Order: sequence, then C-alpha cells, then structure tokens
Amino acid sequence: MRRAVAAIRRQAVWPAALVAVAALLGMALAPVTTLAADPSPLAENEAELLLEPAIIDLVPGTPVTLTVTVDSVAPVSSVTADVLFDKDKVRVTGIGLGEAFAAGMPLVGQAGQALDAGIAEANRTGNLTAAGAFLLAGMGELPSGRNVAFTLTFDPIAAGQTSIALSKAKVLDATATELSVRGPAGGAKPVVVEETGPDAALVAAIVGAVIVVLALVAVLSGAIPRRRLLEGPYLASLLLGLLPVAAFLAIVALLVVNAIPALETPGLKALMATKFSSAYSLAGPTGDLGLVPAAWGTILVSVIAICLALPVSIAMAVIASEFPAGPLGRLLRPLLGVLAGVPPIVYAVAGAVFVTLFVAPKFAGSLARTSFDPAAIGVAPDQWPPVDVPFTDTSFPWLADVGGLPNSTLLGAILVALLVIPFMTPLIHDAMRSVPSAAREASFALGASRWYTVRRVLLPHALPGIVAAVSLATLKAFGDVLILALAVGWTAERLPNPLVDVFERTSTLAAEGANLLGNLQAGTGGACEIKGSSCPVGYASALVLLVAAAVIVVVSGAAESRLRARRPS
Amino acid sequence: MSAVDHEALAGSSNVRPSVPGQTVTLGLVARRLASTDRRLYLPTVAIALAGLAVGSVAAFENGAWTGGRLLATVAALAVALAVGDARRRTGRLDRTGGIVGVAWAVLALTHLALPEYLFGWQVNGVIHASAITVPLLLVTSAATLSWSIRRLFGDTPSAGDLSVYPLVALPVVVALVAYGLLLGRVVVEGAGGLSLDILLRPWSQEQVDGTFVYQAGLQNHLLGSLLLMALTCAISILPAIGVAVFMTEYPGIIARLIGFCTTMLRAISVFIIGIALVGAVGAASGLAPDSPISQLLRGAFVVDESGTMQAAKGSYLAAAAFLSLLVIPIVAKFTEEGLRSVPRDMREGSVAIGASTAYGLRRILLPWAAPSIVTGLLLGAAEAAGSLAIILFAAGNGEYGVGPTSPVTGLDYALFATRYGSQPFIASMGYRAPTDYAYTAALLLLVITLGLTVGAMFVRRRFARRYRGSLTLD
Repeated sequence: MRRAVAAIRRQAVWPAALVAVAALLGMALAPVTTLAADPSPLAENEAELLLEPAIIDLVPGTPVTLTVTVDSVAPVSSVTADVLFDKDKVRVTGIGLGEAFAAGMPLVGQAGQALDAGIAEANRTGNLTAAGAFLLAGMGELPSGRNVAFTLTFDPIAAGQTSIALSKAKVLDATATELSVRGPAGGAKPVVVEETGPDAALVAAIVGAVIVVLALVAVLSGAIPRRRLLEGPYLASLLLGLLPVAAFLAIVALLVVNAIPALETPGLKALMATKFSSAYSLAGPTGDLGLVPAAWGTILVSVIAICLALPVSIAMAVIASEFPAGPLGRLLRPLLGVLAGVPPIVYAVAGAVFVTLFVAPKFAGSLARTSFDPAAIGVAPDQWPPVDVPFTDTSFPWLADVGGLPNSTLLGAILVALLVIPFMTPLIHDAMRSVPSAAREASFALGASRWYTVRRVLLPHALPGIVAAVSLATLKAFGDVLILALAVGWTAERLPNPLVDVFERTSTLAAEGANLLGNLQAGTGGACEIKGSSCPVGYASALVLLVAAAVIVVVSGAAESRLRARRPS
Repeated sequence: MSAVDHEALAGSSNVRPSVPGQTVTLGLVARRLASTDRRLYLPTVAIALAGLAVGSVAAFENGAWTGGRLLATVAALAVALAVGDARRRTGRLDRTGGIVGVAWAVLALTHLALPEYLFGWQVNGVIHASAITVPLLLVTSAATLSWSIRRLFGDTPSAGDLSVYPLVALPVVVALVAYGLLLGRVVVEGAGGLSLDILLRPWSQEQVDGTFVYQAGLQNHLLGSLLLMALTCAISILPAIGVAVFMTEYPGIIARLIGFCTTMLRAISVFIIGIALVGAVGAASGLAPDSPISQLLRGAFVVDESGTMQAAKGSYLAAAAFLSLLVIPIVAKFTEEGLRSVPRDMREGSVAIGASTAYGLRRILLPWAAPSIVTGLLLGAAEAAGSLAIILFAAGNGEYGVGPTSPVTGLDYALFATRYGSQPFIASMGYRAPTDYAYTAALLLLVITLGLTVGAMFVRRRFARRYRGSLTLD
C-alpha cells in the first residue's frame, strides 16, 4: 500500500506542479467581469431599454433567447418595443415573460391580434411590432430599477452573425403615464460589460516574469545544463519542445480562469445537484445545472465500453500474435490498421445501422404501437406485445428522437467500444510481442501448449501494457463528444433510475460541456461575455474532464511501473 | 484515434518456435471420428455448429430465438450422454464437459421460462428475449465446440491450441461483423450518392421567391479537409521533431516535463482544444476586422449574397494550429521511436569520426528517422481530418471558399451538419434541406483517412525492409 502511494506520488509530481503553476497564473490573471455602472443616471420619468446582446452569432439548430431589460426610475406596468431583425437569418419563434412580469401578459403585433399571428407577420416583415409585456390590472406593479421585461426566442436559419435591434419602445409607469425612453433610439445597444481585469501590458509582464523566473530556476538548479545553452540543437529542440508545454499550460489556465465564475453562479452546490435542464439562456443560468448526471454518464459509458472492448481486443491480439496464419489472423493484421483510421463521426452517423438491426428490435419492442412502424424495422406486427400493456411514449425517455433515431446510453457505449477496439488492440498486441522470446520458448520447451503459454506467460507479462491500453481507451471514451452527442444526446438531464439503467439517455461530461460551450460563438456579444451565463458551467465540466484525465494518466502510470517492477525479468 | 502504431500488427517477422506435434489433417479428423471412443462427440460438434447458426440468425431475426429451445434441450442431453459415456469408459468425470452440459441445461430452462417480451422492473423499454438468449447461446455453442474439439483430438498439442480457437474467435467475429455492418452501410449508401456533380459543387443557399433553396455539394468540404490536413502537418512537423529530439537526446527533468505535457495533450478531451480555439478566435474579435491578426485567426470577413458582412468564426490557419496540438504528440511519438531505433554503432561512429551533435542529427539521426516521421505525419493527417470536435465550434458549411484565411469547414462537418447542425433545422422550417449526401461525405472521409493509414503502413513496412540490411552489420 505504502509503495503504491509512493508510486502515485512519484508520478504525480509533474502534474501537480504544472496544474499549480497554471492555476496560479490563471487566478492571477482572471478578469473580473462586472456590469458597468450606467454611463449616466436616469433622469426623472425616464426608462432605459436594453436588448442583450444585440449582435449575435448564429448557429443553425440552436435557438437564441434574447432578453429585453428595462431600467426605470418609476414602477412600471407595461413595456412594448418594436424589434427589427433580419428575417433571412433568424425567425421569431416565441415571446416569453421576464421574471418581473411573471404575472403579466405577453404582447406581439396589433391590438386584438393573436400572438401566433403577430409572430407570423413578424417573420414575413422582419419587424416584430409591439413586442412586450404588461401587467394585468390589479396585478400590482413592477418596482423601479432593472428588470427583465420579456424574452424573445429566435431560431437561426443560417450560420453567421446578425444584429437584432430595438427601433421604438414605449414604457408605461404604474399610473399608465408614458415614461420617456432612451436606449432604442440609437438602435441596437449591447449590454455594457466592463472588464476590470489586468490590462494587456500587465498580463505580458506577469507571464514574462514567470517565464524568466522558471528559466532561471531551471538553469540554476541544473535542469538545463549551462554548458549546453548555446548548443544549436539543444536550444532549438528545447524551444520547439516547450511549445506543447506552453500550449498545455495555456489550456489549463484558460479552463481554470473561465470555470472560476461557476463557483459563484450557480455555485458549487448547484453544480453538485443531480438535475440538469437543457434550457439555455443568454441572460443567465436558468434551471438546474448539476453536473452529477453527466459525470455518472461518463463513468457508465466508459465502463460499459471498456467491458465490451477489452475482451474483444485481447482476443484480437491473441489471434493476431498466436494464430497469425489462420483466416482471422491474416484478415486482422491489415484490417486493424485500417479500422484505427475511422473517425468518430462516421461511427456516430453510421451507428443508425445498429439501431435498426439490434437496438430497436431487441430493446424497443413496444414501440410498434406508439411511434414506430414495426414493418420499418423488419418485424411482423403480431410479434409485438399485446396492445393492453399500458405503455406510453413517455415510458421510454431513451427513445426520444434525435436525428430520427431512438437512442440510449447502451447504443453510445457500443459505438464507443467499436471506436476504442482498434485503438486498444495494437497496444495489447505490442505488449504481447515485447514479451522476451526466452520466456515464451522456455514455456514451449517445458511442453506447454500455445494456449497455456498465452494464459500463463504472455498475458501476465503483457499486463502493464494492457493497463496502459485500458487507461488510454478510457481517456478516449471520456473525451468523445460526437458519438455520445448523436447516439445518446447532448445533455444528461437526470440520473438514471435505477442507476445502471442503460436504456435511459445519460450523456457524458464531454458532450454536455461541448453543448454548453457550443452556444458560445466567437465574436462580440458571445454568451460567455455576459455575467452569470451558463458558460462557466461548460468550462467547469471541461475542467473536471481534465482533472479526471490527469488522475487516470498518473494512476495508470503508477500501476504500470509497479507491475513492471514486480514482473520477473 | 490512430496515435498508436497499429502498423506494429503488420510489422515484420515475429519469430516463434514451432510447436512440435501432430497437425490436424482431414485424414486425422476422419480417423478420429471413426473411432468408437469418440463417436459421441460428433453430435456435440454438430449441435455447437447449429447453436452458432441459430444464434447468428436470431441476432438479426427476433423470431428465430425459439429455435434455441429445442436445440438447448437436445444439446444438454447430447453433452450428458457424451460425458456419461466417457465416465463409463475412463472412470473419470469430464469436468469441463459437465460445466458445458449444465450450461446447456440452464440455457434450455431460460428459453422455456422467458416470455418473448420482458418488461417491468423499472426497465425502460421492452426487451426481446433474444437479447438475453442470443449471447448466451453463442458463448455456450463456442464453448461446446472447443470442448468437443479438445475431446476429439485431445492428445495433440496443436489440437489443444485449435480447441481454444472457437472461444477466442467468437468475440473477434462478432466485432468484425459489427464493423462490417457499419462500414458496409457507409460504403453502400455513400457510393450510391457519389457523383461528379456533388463533388464539384459547393454547398449553397439561395433565396428564390421568398423561400430558401439549398443545394447539396461537397466541393468545399473536400478541399477544406485536404487543406486542413496539409496545414496541420506543416505546422506540427517542426515542434514534433523538436519534442522527439529533446526527449531522446537530452533525457532529464525537462524532458520528463515535455513528455508529460505531450501525453496530456493526447489525454485531454479533444473538445477542450476546441474550446481553446474558440477562446483564441474570440480574443481576436476585439480587433478590427481587417487587422492582420484578426484575419489570420478569424478568417477574412466575407460579404454574403445579401450584402451583409459575415463574421467568420475561425480560419483554416487557426483551426490547423489547434489541430496540430493533437497531431504533434502523434508525430513526436513516431519520430521518437525512429530516433531510438538508430543503431548504437551508427551513433557512436558518428561521434568517433568527430561529427558535431548538430551534424549527427542532420546527417544521421533524422534521415534514419525520416520514415517514422512520414508515418507519423500521415497518421496525424488522418487524425486531423477526423477530429471534428476541435473545429466544431468554428466550422461553417464552406459557402465562402477555401483558403488559409477562409472560414473553416471539412468533410466531417458536412456529416455533422446533416444530422445535427443546420440541415435538420432547415427541414424543420419546411424547406427542403439536402441531407442525402451524409453517407457520401462519410465515404469520402473514410477513403481519405484509410488512404492515409494504409499509406503509413506501407511507408513503415517498406523502410523497415530497406534498413534491415544495415542492422545486420553488428
């Protein structure tokens, strides 16, 4: 036990030192993002209307929610505004009430016009007239100050960037007197965000100082021999070799800096919750943002995938190395090289074939009656269970349609297993080939059969290699985004019940993190520039993955070196 | 995905002492089957083969699972008979046979006890009985086959090895069938949609009479993938060689640091690198659109058909720079391997004749490692073509041309867009969104990556052969 701890400690020196340096750097440089104070205070009887953010980057398939905020000096009862948008780029799908107007009524279009008709007209003209909210009589009033009046949901049509602007607006106070409005007059007005972080020169100075100190320490401690410093090859390869180091440090610092706000909003407790709602809002975190289901999904998917892939990989390696002349052995040698080149997205898309062949007929029997045509998956209708079995669509959350395919954790795990098999097999095969031939020959000389030799000589000798292969494959399963996103879903909304229910859709941290951050598009007004958005949660999930990867690397490294040390030479 | 040297499988000679003993020939099989002692194992072989057949059919046809009922009962009886007969003759109990027999009996009971559809117990969905029985049937059949072979030819070592073959081969065959189905689908569907037209046309979107008309096209995706691979290789080659040279030539604490960081770059989820790309591009968004840094990172701004400025989300150059973080470790690993394989006498000889380190590197070590570097670059290029998660956040459909500072796209993004990106959304709005080219894009992507991996295998094998001559000098 003590030796194992020592081994882990030996392996963990560098990771810990690096992460500490990166985290310190990150924290030192972390910008503090705050909403700036208003440029000028509101005058009496004045209200300011803000649309945030005004210039948005569009990702087709990802709805954009815009918040219209009113900041007023007096209590307010009604807010309406005309919203101009590019009808070729986005399309309005809905209007919602802000928290402040929760008891109010949404408005769009002409008086007396239905909401849908108003929205339809807006999509024809590109002008959402009189969008807004008002409080019903007797429902009280909105206190003065900054309040979210209403939210608008847009669906992007094409990728790109567009601006959405307020053209004219009307704000009535509690006495139905019109307040003079400022804000929309100048058209689009993005939310004012002030970065009170260190400026570029300071950042450069700190980074430069850190580099100089590290270099001095390295030279003085003898890690970089002084006599070599002026040698061309040494210096060149050192500088080039430090590029990945710098990149890794920068990535760690980026994750740490951006994940820190998540500790404030939604807070550590909310992150540890077991619920996640995929509701997405530019305005701030809405709903639950617990990462536990996704973490559990990550474990579930990688454990199932490794359990499926490991026996197959060992069998493949045994056949490739011990039965190379057989039909399978001859086939495997070139095939594995070829399979290792198949990109994950191909598995994700072509995985549909498993749905129609196995997952639907074997695990989705009852769908015949509800949403599936049994003939479509090649099963006669009379083979389905009787109609009086009380099932509804909602009995099968894992069958929810994504890209027209029913999906489940199991399907994702199977596809990930197929992804890692060609990756693990050569590693295991290599480990078996590196067994000294003396050991093998001695076994044969003692009359052992080939199979006995495999079991008692090759596999035990190859154990460190197998451990390494398993850890690398686990990292691959941890990190895969696309297979999980397409075969399971982008988010894990709750823990499966029972916990090992693989027919639920429990996605992984990688897919969830990519989803949270995927809404972030580079450019002005990106969601992550708004205080309190759910972006830090995405960074937090990435950070969790990074830490998990470091732990796996360290632990497997320690296990490997211990196994190697124990192995008879 | 191809960071490891899977070519090792295709590697050269793997010397192994031949096992003495009788080989299994047809004549031997006939003689064994004819001997009265072992006649009872003939039916068990037949039953095992039948079990494999029924299992294979029932894996695809739910209805066929009932075939297992009769088979398992018969098998349990046949195995019991054979075991009993062996006991009578030798006086010893065949323990393996007993286990196999019990397994069949359990399987027969399972077949009888299971209803065709299982539900309840909080399980989401309805499970067909074959989902449970088919794996059991296949494993039991393979075990029976192994055991029968063992008993039929038990006294020769090679037969002993042969008897394990069915059990080891079963998972391999199952996996190969899975790959076959998957890739077969891609090839069949992809080849169906393949035409010169779709290859030579970019994806486009037009507005005609108030509706949108979309045209499928893969030209820019294909060119984009190729450009991305070329740029990534060009960017990663020097740092990768630097890492490898430092790791092999100057071991020490700094080398361990570099080694750890390159390992971690491989170990972290690729989407984390994707985030870094977004971060870098986002950092450039504060700059003027026409400033050189902004153009390099974000890509040149383009004006779309309606005259609006489109902000690019990431250029090919920026994407390649971040893809190279993934590729550098691969190339470095292969280069390192190549450098380590330089024979000792060549190293020493170089020093002995007074060559400087730089000269030795330039004229001996790196030329020796060149095939390994090329192999690594080919595999790295394949990885770059398939690592969508990195460019996912930055990619578009490639409407604005292909060049180092154009907005990035690739075949893998084309594939993604048909399933999750723009196209399902367009379709949901009632426009006709072309998605029928998904498998064509997948096929092209497969051809590119497979071409590269096969090329890598070829380079490696060819050069391994070329250098073998000099290796024999010592």
